[in-house]
Amino acid sequence: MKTGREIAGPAGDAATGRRPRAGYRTDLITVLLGTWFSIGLFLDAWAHSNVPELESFFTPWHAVFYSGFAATGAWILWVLWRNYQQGLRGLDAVPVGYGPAVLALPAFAAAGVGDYLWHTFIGIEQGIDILFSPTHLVLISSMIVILTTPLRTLWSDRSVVAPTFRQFLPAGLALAFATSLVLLFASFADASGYTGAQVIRAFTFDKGEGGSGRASDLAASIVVTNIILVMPLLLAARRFRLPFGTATTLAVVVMGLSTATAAYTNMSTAIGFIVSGVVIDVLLVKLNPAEDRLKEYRIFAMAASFVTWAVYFASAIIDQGTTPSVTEMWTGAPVMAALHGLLMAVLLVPTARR
Amino acid sequence: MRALLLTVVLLIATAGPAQAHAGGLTPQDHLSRVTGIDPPLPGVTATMVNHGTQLEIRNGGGTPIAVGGAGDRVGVGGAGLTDHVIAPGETYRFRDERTTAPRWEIPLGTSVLEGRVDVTPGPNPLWWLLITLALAVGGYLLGRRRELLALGVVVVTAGHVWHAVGSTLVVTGQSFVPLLLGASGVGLVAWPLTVVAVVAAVRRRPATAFVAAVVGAMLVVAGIPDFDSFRFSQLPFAGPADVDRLLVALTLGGGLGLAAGGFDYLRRTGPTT
Repeated sequence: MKTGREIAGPAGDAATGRRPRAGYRTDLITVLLGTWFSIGLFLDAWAHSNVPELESFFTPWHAVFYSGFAATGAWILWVLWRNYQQGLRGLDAVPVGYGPAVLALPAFAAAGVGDYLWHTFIGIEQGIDILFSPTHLVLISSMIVILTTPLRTLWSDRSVVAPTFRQFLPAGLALAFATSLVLLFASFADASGYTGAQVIRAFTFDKGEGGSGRASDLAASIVVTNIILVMPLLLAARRFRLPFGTATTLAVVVMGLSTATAAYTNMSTAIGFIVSGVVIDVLLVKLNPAEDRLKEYRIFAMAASFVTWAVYFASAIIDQGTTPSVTEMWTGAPVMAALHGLLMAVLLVPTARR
Repeated sequence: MRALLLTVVLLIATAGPAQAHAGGLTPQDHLSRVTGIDPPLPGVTATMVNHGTQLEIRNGGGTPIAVGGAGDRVGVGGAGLTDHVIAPGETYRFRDERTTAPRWEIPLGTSVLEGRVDVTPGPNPLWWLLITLALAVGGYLLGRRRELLALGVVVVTAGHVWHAVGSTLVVTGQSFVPLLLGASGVGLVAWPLTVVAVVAAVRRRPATAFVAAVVGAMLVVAGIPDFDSFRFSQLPFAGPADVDRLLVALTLGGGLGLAAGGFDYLRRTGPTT
């Protein structure tokens, strides 16, 4: 198995000026520290939604979040220092893929100061405003840059085309955490947060009235959530022959964090997403979607989206023991998602490479 | 190395606050106190807790007692409250805007709860900044030897832990561990790294200086929100205010010195290959 050269590369690197590539263990530690970092964010998001007495910036949840950042930052500095110790200088001491993270660390830190000042002088957000605060947007953007470092490492290694699951794990977790963070910041349109009962109620309305606000909310949420979930897979499938387990890992991480912020009220929905992750993994193996296998790539985009939302409604129906009253809504939504999946596939790979 | 130093400098200069006084309590020059219950109620005691932000009434008598109130009384959860009856054996804790007046009175059963706000001028922050600077120079000088750096990390971290524990102990009505966790911030990382620094020093590893520098930088970040301790008289700390100021100066100055001394050591010793 190719895992890339470890951070302590041979001394020849200094002479040739080639940047080192972080090794598997380095990337794995980076992503595990990123997990700490991400869990801190989701704990904080949970606290903002479920703890009405937040009066201070100095909460345990902020402590986990910022200490996760400190641990990740210290680790990346350690990686640079080890390379410096090996005689590498300047940019040559920064492993391939780690450069954006080195820039994002101080950006995140500056946004942390800004967030402290914001919370102190403007107040602590407890609703949808949390997703639009400028400091939070900088924090989340720089955080995604830091967390996706292992993905950049593997992506830049042209010799890796069909990684094993173990080999892809750091990159896969990075992809999953980035997806979770994007979905967290689109939580006003996150269909994964719905309980089975809410799904049934949303698509149960008097057809004579032409619809309902809840139906519109869920329909829009399905569009947004589908794009956020299918895009990382389509993007990664362009570059890699993805190993079995990629989609399930994505679903487990996304739903693990999503259910925590929803105070574990949406368990049947979460189980549905994980089941669809397994089915999508089977599709990955059977279809082998790739940039140069355009037909399979597009079929995969459609099928993955369709399966996700067909299972979504199936889990709600099983959980509640009834179907939504408006049949065309819950049968049409997976088809609509499939069409959006196809659109994303066409946008990502408009034509076969000649 | 320059890229590394630049990144660390940026982290120190801009990093998010991670530690301050626990429970959201802040240094200030004023402190609200209960002066008495007039006429006294047998078994009933009242005191201002949580750095003068909340009133705590303990009903040790045999009959229920009502806290008379205006509409501006606010419960711990922030919601407006109507009159509250404190049952025998109950301890009732709440925030009341009236306790911020220079002299205040709150009806309590057939009596009146009386209090006042004392204002004490803060110290001259210049002296504490000079102490911080001196500690920074001292920390930097420790960078001459690896063992001294490890010793400095232990001392500065101990100061930081003491400050976090002291600020946690002063909070009433909340669990200790979550409060300490909130007050520790990046201490969650810096404290264990202190052990790493000591182990590395014992094993004579070059990583000692690196870990010392990183822990120093983290502790500076941890101490930045505590600058207010130098200019206000009343600090939410379980102990003398000057001890807390010294701990903050040690965290800030010592941390800065260790960061500079550690990286200077790395610069002087250079790569190992």
